[in-house]
Amino acid sequence: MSRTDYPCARVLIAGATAALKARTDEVNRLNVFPVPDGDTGTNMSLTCESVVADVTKLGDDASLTEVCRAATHGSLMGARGNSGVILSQIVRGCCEGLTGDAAAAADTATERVALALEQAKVVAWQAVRKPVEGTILTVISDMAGCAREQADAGADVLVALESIAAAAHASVRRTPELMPLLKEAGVVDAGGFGLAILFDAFVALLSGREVADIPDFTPVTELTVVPVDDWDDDEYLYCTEFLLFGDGIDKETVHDYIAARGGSELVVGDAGQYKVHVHTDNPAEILTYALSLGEIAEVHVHNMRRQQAERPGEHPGARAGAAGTAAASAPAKAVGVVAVASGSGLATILTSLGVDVVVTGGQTMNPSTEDLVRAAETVNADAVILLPNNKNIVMAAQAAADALDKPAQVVATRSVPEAFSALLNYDPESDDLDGMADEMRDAAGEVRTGEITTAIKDSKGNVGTIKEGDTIGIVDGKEIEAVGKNVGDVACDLLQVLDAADAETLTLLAGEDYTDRALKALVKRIEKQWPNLEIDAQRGEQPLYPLILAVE
Amino acid sequence: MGKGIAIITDGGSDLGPADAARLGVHVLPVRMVFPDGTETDSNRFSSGDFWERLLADYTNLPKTAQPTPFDFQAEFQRFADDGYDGVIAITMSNGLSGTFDTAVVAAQDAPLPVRVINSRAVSWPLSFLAAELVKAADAGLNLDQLVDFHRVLRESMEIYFVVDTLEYLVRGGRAGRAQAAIATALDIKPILELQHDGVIEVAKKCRGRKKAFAKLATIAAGDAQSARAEGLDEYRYMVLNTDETEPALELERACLDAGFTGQRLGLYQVGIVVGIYCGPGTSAFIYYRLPEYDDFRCTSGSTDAG
Repeated sequence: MSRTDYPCARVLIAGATAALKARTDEVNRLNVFPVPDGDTGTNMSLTCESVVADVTKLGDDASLTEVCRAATHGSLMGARGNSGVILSQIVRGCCEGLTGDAAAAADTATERVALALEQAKVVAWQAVRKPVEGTILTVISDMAGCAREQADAGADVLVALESIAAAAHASVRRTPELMPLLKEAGVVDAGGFGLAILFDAFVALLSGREVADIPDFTPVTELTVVPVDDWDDDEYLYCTEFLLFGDGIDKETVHDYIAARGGSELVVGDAGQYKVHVHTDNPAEILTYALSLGEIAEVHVHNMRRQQAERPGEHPGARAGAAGTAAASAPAKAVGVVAVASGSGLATILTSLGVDVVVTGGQTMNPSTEDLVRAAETVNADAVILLPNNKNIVMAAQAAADALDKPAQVVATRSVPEAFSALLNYDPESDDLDGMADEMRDAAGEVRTGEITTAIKDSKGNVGTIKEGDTIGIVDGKEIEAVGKNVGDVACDLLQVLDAADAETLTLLAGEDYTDRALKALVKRIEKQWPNLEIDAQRGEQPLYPLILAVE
Repeated sequence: MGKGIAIITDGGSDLGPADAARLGVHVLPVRMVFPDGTETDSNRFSSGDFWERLLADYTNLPKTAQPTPFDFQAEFQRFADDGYDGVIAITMSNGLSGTFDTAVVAAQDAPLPVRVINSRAVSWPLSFLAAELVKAADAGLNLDQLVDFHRVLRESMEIYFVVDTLEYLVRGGRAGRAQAAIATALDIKPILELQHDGVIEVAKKCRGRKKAFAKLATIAAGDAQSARAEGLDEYRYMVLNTDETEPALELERACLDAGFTGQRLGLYQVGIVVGIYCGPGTSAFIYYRLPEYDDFRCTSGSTDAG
């Protein structure tokens, strides 16, 4: 076994977490271009803290396998935001790599590190449906690549780890070269930076150098996050994994065969020994094919829909979540709804539309997977629909849906107004969860949202130079399409961008700092300019965004 | 042979004396009592009067009273005295009013054969169901055949309406499951449907009136298109307004623009019985297909005096 056993692992994980936490603000600041856009540093820190909590619960005699299981569980349950969820997959991959057959068979610690990081890379890439280079995925790939080189060269494990840490930092610097969006903005990827900090601290603790010695990473100019929110919601039922032994097996041929019959396909290994992983509806077909090629072993077929429910200890403990009103006392219904929003007005409207639990959160405070799981568990319904209402929360919602032991569907709403329209198609007594979720998605897709906030630093965007303090308008949670000096002007500019002349309904949601008087004046102004629009002005009381508007 | 079959409906039909005479339908007028105790009925207090007063002062509206079995008995006696052979009493939906039960009670001691039909409709759709029964009776259908005729006719009839606010429906206790839609803080304009079973249900929830009209138009146009594809007869349609005609005409334009086709029966104003529940700003779109009279002549072994 590795000498990276439990007491040591706990200290290392806690230490690395502390190091990341100390630099959370730095990562957050880099990530808020030019609006408070999520909080990568906070999300990653919280994800790590959940790992620390679970690992700490173990007794002193815990095995590596137990530590790894706790870390995997803790990271999944604590995962917040895109970066947090991907990080949880990296943790999972590392644990799988460390406890896998190959690691057991490996004769050096460096080889085990390489196996861990390679598996982390594989799992992380699998987690994202449309992976994008120039993100945390690139960084873990480069780390895995470096680890493999070190292992193959027979390097000492500490030397290898330092090299990998250096490779991580180099990779972060390289991210703008890989993603035009980053380069245009002159920034690097914040999630990748967070991973580099974590790993560097881990290595520093292990090698005995001071954590403070971590090379100071100064971003080129400023950092932004380009969300990668295509969490792989698998349409296949069975996760099928096995080892395949045989001479003359062509990995690519095997890969192509299973890719045509499933998803998340993966064929790793070499020299006549392979690990095959595929999500499929027909495991028998895959296994029959494998038997025609050679011998198989370690066959694992998991029903992915049931898997989470069967795994012992999978449910979160007593950790406090951000879940709002409990709904357990509500009458039972076929389908319940959990939605994310911040602002008392938004919560009231969502509740009036049938939402059972509103989890507090949004752009600057992404609820964790566990928060969503706990909220969904309080809903007295046979199935649950999750409305993330922010694209940075979509992945956590998907992870929560996967972790729930009842049917759940994520309707990937990017804004609260999208949730409003989706909810008009919600029937609590529906017996067709999937069909209803599709209808809700269609309805949400008819909505276009504009969000108005204040730029917190200078930057450049599609609309030219943005100065700190400018009022900016963001369309569909993506692009800044309007800049001005006041909410009214930016709102009218956004309405032009959103083709309000062709729309029928306009929803205005006043934030906590936007007065009724200003709202009334704005309604009058819009009525004059767009007489055909039916305006529904409401108080959302959301923070940071004086106004959210939506047309359909 | 006497004078044939009399068709009588209740005040829920919104038929004034002139329209009733034109369509050949008898109407049991709605009795009303004002807050100050003075009484009137739907022959003297028109739909127009009602809307004018509702908009001026909601609190000074007359209360409507259901007819009593005695009212029906008096009518049945009169039909017998006038030499009719039988009566169809077609009442507003049993899901909205107890008039049907009243008529059933009255029919038990009637001096001539009476069939009581739960129209599963109200307002002008009820009027036109009654008017179609008059024509079908004129074409020679007997009492039981007319009951079957109504069933098929009503099955083909779609009644959709869009209210400006659900407030009136809820206040009147007539929202049924539509009540759930009212609780929303948003400006939701539900498309309500008076279903074939005579119960009001939310067909679709929409943001704003225009969205609701557009959606209703899509539904109506889709029905018309399927009917054309199946080679069925053209729909007959009517549009209903409440206090103003413009929203209803806008709804009609939306339906026609969306591809709805049919024979226009007219634009009619909803009266007090329904108006008190749907409130101002309501518009309705109704369409149906007339069944073939011949399809009913050999059905139902009838033994009545038709």
